[in-house]
Amino acid sequence: MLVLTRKLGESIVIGNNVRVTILEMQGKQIRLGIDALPEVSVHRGEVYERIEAENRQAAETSFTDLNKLRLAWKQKDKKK
Amino acid sequence: MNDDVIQFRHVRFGEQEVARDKVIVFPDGIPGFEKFKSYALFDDPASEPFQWLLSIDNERLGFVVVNPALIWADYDPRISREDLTSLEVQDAKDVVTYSVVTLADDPTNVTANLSGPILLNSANMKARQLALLDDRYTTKHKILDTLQV
Repeated sequence: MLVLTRKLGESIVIGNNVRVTILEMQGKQIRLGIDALPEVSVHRGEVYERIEAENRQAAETSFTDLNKLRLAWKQKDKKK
Repeated sequence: MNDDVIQFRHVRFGEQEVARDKVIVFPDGIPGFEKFKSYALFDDPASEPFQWLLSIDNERLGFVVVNPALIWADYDPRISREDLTSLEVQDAKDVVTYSVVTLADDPTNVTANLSGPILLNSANMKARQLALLDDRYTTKHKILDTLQV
């Protein structure tokens, strides 16, 4: 991992199109400003990891038989 | 060999083909599976209303997806202008939303991920999975619960 020290107001540039600026520091919290093209997706790490983990589980279970789910769904649908 | 059709194989559904202009491209891949960018939406009549998003590049990779509006009529993910711009959306009507379904042996444990909707721009077939910052939604919403009265 590359480790850099930055001061308030300073920034780092990643590739040609991403700039991350330290906007504010308060206790243990740091506010970052990110300038990037819209096609660059920026996520909070923990949110991205949750989606990643759920996708892995979804892919692993995708071979499960759907019949029971379908039947339950149809019954519920009728009740509606 | 027809150039307009792409043939692929999936272990569950065998040999398949998809029209080239129906191939869904995730420029960044799907979180956890970033390497695989091209998918085909596959309708299996035996799975309705659930559909399949099958990887064209990996015969073992596929996701069950569902139109979340069919289950949660009030589902209202906040989609930013940047999200739409990144998919080059010209007309909001072109955007189709899918939720990834996590299956389970017990159907009451089957969940949909409402916190990571897949947005597809049906005009150019570009898609991406969002990671919503919205406390109302999690990665696991039980599908059958909503229909219980």
